[in-house]
Amino acid sequence: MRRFSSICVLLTLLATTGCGDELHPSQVIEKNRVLGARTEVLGAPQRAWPAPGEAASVRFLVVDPGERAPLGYALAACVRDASLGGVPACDGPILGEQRVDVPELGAPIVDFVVPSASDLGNRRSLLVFGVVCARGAPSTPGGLVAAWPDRAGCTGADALPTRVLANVTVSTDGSSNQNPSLSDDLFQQGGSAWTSTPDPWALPPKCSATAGTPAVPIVSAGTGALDLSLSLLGDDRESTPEGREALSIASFSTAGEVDRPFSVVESDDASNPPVVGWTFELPKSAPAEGRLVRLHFVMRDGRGGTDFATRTLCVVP
Amino acid sequence: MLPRPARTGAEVRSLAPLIVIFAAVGATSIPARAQPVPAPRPAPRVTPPQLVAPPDRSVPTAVEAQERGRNVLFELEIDDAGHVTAARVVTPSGSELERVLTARALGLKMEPARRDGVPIAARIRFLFQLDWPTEGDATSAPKTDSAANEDDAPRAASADASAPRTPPETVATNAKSGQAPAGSSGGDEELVYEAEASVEAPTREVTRHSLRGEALTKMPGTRGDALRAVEVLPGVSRPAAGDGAPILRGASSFESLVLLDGSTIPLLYHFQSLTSTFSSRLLQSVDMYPSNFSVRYGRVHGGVVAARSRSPRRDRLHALADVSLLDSSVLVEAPIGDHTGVALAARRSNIDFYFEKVAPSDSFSVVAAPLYWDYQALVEHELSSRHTLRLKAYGSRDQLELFFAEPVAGDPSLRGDIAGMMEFHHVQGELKSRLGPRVEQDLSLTLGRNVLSQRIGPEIDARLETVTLAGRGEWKLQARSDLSLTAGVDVEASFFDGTYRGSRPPQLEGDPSIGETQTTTARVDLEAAFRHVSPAFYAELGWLPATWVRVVPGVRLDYFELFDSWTVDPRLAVRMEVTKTTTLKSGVGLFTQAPLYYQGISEIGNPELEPERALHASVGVEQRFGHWLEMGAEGFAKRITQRIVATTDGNAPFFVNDGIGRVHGIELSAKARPDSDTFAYLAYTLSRSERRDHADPWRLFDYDQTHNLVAALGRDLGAGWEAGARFRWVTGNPRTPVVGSAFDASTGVYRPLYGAINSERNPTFYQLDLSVEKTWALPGFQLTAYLDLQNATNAANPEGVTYSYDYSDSETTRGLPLFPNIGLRGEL
Repeated sequence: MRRFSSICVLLTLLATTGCGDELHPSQVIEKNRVLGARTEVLGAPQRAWPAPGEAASVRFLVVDPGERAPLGYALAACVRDASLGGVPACDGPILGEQRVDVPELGAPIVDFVVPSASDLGNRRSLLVFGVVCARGAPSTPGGLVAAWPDRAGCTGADALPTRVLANVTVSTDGSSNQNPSLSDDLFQQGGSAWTSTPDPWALPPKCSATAGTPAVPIVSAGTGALDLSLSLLGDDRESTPEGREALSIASFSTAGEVDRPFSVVESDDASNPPVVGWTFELPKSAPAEGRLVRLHFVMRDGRGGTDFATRTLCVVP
Repeated sequence: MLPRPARTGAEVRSLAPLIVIFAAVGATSIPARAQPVPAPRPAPRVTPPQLVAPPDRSVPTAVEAQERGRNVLFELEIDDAGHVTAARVVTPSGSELERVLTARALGLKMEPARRDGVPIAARIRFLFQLDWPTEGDATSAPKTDSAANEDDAPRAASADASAPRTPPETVATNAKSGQAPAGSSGGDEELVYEAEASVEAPTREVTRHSLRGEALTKMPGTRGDALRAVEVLPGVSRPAAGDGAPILRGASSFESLVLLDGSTIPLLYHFQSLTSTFSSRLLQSVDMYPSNFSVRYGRVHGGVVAARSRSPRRDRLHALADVSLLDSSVLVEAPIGDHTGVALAARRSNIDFYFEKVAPSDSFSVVAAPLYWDYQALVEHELSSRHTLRLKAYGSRDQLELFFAEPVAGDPSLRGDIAGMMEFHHVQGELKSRLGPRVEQDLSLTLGRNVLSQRIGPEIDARLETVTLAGRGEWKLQARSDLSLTAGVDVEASFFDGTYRGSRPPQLEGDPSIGETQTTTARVDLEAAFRHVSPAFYAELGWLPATWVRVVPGVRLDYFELFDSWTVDPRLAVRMEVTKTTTLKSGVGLFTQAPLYYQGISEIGNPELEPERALHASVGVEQRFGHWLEMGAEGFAKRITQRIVATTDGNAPFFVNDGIGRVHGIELSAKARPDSDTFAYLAYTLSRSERRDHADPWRLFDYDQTHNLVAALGRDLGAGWEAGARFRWVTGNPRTPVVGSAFDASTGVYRPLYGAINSERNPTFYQLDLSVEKTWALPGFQLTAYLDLQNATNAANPEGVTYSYDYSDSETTRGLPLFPNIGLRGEL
């Protein structure tokens, strides 16, 4: 035992904690961003782990600070290699591929069929990978596999590329994992219920005339912080052989700033219901017609299960 | 584990031609000496220590009546800087006079003993004469013949413990007062000075850099840390930020050994880089072999740093207490009877007293602030004139525990309990014996228990307990005056028991993903108990074909049980003293690096791994200028084969012997001691260290430093003031650029897309360290206040790059800012 580097990690952590925020905070949506991906088994959308031979899809959540940008993309699925760090790659043939060269509105999605158990061998992980282009078309010289990841990009003067990947766990032994659900949980802002809108992208950015509902509450700019919370009424923490799941919730806003990008409901959190709280620093100013602010939440169970939710605020002067 | 045939023979055969060629080059590199054997050189000239300032001969005010007129005979130990490190009354009575004179003796200013002009440590007898009032003086007490009594004491002096294997060289001189270290500052009495000065064993290795005396504890920028002082030596790269382990001649820190009295230290520095876990004040010497080391050492193919603890002082009770911002320590030494000395030391960190006030408390709560402690206990007993027994116990503990209620920004895996603990306890016994006029024996046995635990949120949870047993037996036969044989057995056994949950260990070097968030890496769960026994046998000849040539061939045979592998390492060193002040040297040899234990666990490693091999070659010259300046120049090269690298696809067997490496460079060094109050070191290393993984292109080693310039200066300014400075100018470490990223939707964290490994560098590192201390000599007590200022100019010295969450933006990460360590030290 000549090495004892791990304690050094702790000291490094101490040294860096609180310093990384000098760069752009990740919880503020300043450009087109991919925030998450949800795996659904065909015909059983709550299942995140497809079995060998089953068809499944992976859908990506893409958001913008303002109006929704049309997206081009190239996505594919394959058996994943065993690399430890960096960007993983394929260890087998393509299982499914989706390509959109003419940018369109809508979530990027790829369908695929899981190989048979004999083809999988002892491998349990699939890789979904590709590039999402805001206002552009994918560029994958030689095909997506050949271009991945270095040369996977976009064409178009204003195109903004984001390389994406997602891990899909295959259920080879009858075990399962359900996607968590945010739809049965309670969001609150300032102590009041905060509901969702059918299509948050359909709301006008100048919101003061249409706001004032539980789905689009009005708040005043520059008044400091607003308390936000999420009560997990339908506790989605499944039991696993290693213990109960922990749920992480990533939070983002298109203006203002949530106090942290990640929150976790630990597996041993016994509160009923578990509640996650945030402090939302309101924008310093807003136009007279109001400014629509979207807050996006991504819940992950740490095993491949995911759900998304979006809430809106109308910030007025 | 599948049995495999040993493949050592083939490896040796493949490298044998290179060895032969190099040996031939070494043997013919001095054409002028390829003549008939020259006349034997005269024996080395040894000069005794010289007083450079007269002692205080005034009669102490409070002297018992029976002590009046007495002069006291001391046995003094004087280091190679001329400092009196120990003063023992030969026939002690425990009087106040002895106590006062002992304090004065310890403050004597000496020119060190010299062998052919080179300062050496010495032990001498010294008669401390006082200016007693003459007969008839109204204040004088009845004169006693105490001096004569003292002279009745035995004259035999023992050899310096620093070189027990070398017969002492005796010098005797008659000198006039003022030239010899007798206690007379004037007058015309002729004094007889008699002493024995022992010298270090002749260097058997191609290159040995030694630190002794004040260089161990007064090197600026090291906070008095003896092991850190090796950083001023040539061939030693600047260690990585947060990791003080030495990087010798382009080798990773885990490829080099740091030994204490021949045994591996489980944890070199508290918190990896703060301060040594063994008190520097109990060290006698630190020898550094940057490569081409003796067959006594093995299991690594980098270099060796060998620290040697000193003997407890046996002249009287000594006590020391030291309090600084970092830690507090105490040291007590005392004789027990005539033949036994004991030293006890302990240290505890002070960081926890103020940690919560300086830490960013809004990010985490402190469960257990950083705390370290260590202890050492040494007992040395002279069983007889031929046998000396040393027992030593030492241990250390580091611990830290924080609680992050919320994940750290950008890394959801860093949350909850972040804790680490490392503790070890070792006991060691050493028996040194002179079995006959020509045979010496060294036996040592070390038993240790090491415990490591760490927990980083939900992603990493590990605990490993290791019981280690290390034994060494070495026998040296001086067969003829020109031929000696050293043979030994060196056994290490480790018994591991632990659990581990975390990411699969990556390749140790050349993998930029080390340090990536644990969220993105696959986890493994392990529970294992196993043992690894590694016996080794070695033999080495010391042959003087001519008085000016020393040839040291040796061979080492190693077995690695965990990997069922035998290796044979032949080595050769040649030193030629072509003139009285010039030595040419060269060496070549094979070296073996054992795989790390976990690399042999099948779930995360490959039990079929072979040890790494390396061929070292070096050639150089050492030149002395007068009595105060030594310079050296050396070229070196290394070729590493069978390097252990991760599999290209990350699949089992996870590690394979599919890497190679090459290192070459030039070292220039100078060591000056213009007077007994001043020491100076200057070292410059020009080197290039590269690695190749699989069939990838050659790349730079993680800590390749093209230029490494270090200068250090220390001076006793008088009146109790001492000051020093160290300056380092080093090429920035290589780093791997991030050229893009991919968003991992499963974790919410971006994964970096790396460019060519180690294809960029951090900016040049430069740092000035300053130290100053003031000592007040009080009756029977000495108080010192000190300040060690690291990075006195507060240079930014970027150590890397911090990226934004998606790697689209970055800023440099600065290194250690200006760091003052202030303290007080009292010595009794």
